[in-house]
Amino acid sequence: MSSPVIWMAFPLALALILFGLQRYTRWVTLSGVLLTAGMALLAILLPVEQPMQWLNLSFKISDTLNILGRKFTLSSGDLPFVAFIYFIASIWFLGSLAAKTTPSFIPLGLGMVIFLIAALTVDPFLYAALLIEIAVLLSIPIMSPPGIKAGYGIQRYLIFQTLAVPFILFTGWMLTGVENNPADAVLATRVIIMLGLGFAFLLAIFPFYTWIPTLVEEAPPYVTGFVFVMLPMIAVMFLLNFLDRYTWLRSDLRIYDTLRLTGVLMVTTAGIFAAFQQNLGRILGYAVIVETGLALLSISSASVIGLGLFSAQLLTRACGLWLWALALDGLKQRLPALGFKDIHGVLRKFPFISASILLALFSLAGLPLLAGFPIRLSLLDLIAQSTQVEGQSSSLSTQFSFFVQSQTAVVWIALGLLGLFVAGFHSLLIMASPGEEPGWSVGEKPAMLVPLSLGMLVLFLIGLFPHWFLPGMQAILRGFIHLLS
Amino acid sequence: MSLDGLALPAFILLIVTSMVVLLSRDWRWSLVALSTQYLGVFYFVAQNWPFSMAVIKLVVGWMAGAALGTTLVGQRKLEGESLSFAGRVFPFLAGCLVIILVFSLAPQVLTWFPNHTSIYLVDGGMTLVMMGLLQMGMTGQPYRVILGLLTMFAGFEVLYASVEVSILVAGLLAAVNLGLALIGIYFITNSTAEGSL
Repeated sequence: MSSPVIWMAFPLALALILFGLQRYTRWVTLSGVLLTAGMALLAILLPVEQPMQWLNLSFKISDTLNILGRKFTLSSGDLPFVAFIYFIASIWFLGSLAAKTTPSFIPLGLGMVIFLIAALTVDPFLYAALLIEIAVLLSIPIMSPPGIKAGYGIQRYLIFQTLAVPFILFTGWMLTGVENNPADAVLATRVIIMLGLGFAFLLAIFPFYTWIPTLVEEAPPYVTGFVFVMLPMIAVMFLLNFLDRYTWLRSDLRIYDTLRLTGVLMVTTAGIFAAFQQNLGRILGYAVIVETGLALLSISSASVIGLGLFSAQLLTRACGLWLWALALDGLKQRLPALGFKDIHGVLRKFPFISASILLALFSLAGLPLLAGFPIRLSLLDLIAQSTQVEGQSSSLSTQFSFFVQSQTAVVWIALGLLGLFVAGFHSLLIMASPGEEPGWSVGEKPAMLVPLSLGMLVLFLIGLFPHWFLPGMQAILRGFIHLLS
Repeated sequence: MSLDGLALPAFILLIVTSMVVLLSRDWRWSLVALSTQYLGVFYFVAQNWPFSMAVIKLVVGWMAGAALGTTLVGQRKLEGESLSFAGRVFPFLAGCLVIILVFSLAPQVLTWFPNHTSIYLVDGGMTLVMMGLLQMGMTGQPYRVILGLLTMFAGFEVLYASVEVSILVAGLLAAVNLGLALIGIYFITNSTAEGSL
């Protein structure tokens, strides 16, 4: 028995069975929830590569599985992250009882999770690009409901994610050349450009993110939120894998300056664009972009603290997007569209849904007392304090000093977050305005009301007691030995 | 039997078929061209991969074409899609520009590849990649986007085969190709259910 069999092959077999049983929606959902929660629990409890005794049997779970001459390795250092992914998936699957999802959401979502985990375990790890692409292909049917023509957003999503594959695979081949000849500066630059383009497509980095708001506007919000939590999380971990494995890449200042520049541009532009949106779905799309930008900024600090902030951000991002996506889905079930002209007075008719949307938005914007605040504050502090050593800055940071230098970067980031606040207050104004029917009522059913209330409570709890939740998240980065040293 | 002398005809085949995929509004011609295109892909991949592995490209390409064709048979709404004269000439000129661009860039790109790589392989791979990108950039129809993606991916596979030989990669690339075809089928059935493709 090996760990990839337990956390990948076995769930994959069950996902296939659930796919065949998808007409029993409730049973399939419950099975999916139990399976993913069980996998998360096992990842916490089961030791890998250590002898164990059960009854009179003595055995050991190995961490490697060989398939077609290549290795899939899931070591004990990777298990906290696997537990986290499965935990998030189980929460998301549980929420699908309240949200309106396609019957295939659970089996395909589970399949997606498995391929994303496989992406982090394959050796050579560059093949991960292909496994991520398969996960993307699995996500298409759940985001494009049957009977509705695939829109512009979903087409662009497929195109951009597919375009990432060639760049990343070619980078892998070039990297071997750099390893053999580290002094070849031209080849190193070429690798950085190819790698940058690959991740620009994969992570929807500025300026390749225009399809995200369109996709959120078109597709069912709940499943789209699931995809936007899972995919960028794995993609960033994939990026960290690159930095962890290649010393020369890790020590090249251009990488960190590029990350900071793109992070600042993403947060600023997406935040400002969000302020001018007239659709709640599109605002969610821009918030996703801001989140990705903040993740890049955390990594760009090239410090253990920055990485810790990135890991903590994964939790707050997942909580915020879960709540927002669920509430938005609830609203979409009750209204013809999510444009501002359609949501007048919804706060008076659906107070829990509306409050959830607003709280999630403000949390992602960094409002004090909510989950996003401690991380935003620490990140801004970290960036403000980061000083570049004389003579150690790359040409990129000199050319774009207006964006990259610590003080100006903080101003730009704050401007982007301010844009999200404006979007939040604008939404609040529209939602609270008197609609056709005066007076207040609670239009939500308990099936929606309970998860939303819990979600809001969690946002407050993380915001009020961050030290209970966030430090433990650093365990998910245990696999990156070099980056954490 | 040596097939070395077929590089130029295979390259020409890729130009012609990718141009037909780009220009044809009749799905039958598009799919015939796409399937024929995989012959050229197979030839170039076989230059670097063992024959038995290179055949995977051919089989997978034909399977993708057959799967799309089987779905499209009987979809009446897809027939008779006509374009104006300008609507045909513009993609043709854009395609010609792409080919000129490939000819001008390929010698430079060739220097990135291992020494044994032939210029025709790079030409062929780049032609497919760029024609696929052009196709995706010029259409909003999901079915044609899938054709563009398959073409682009085929070009990438030609180029990548010259630098990496791995059974797992071959299997994963095959899975991605078939996955793209299945997504194409899904898009087609959704589009026709709604009344337009």
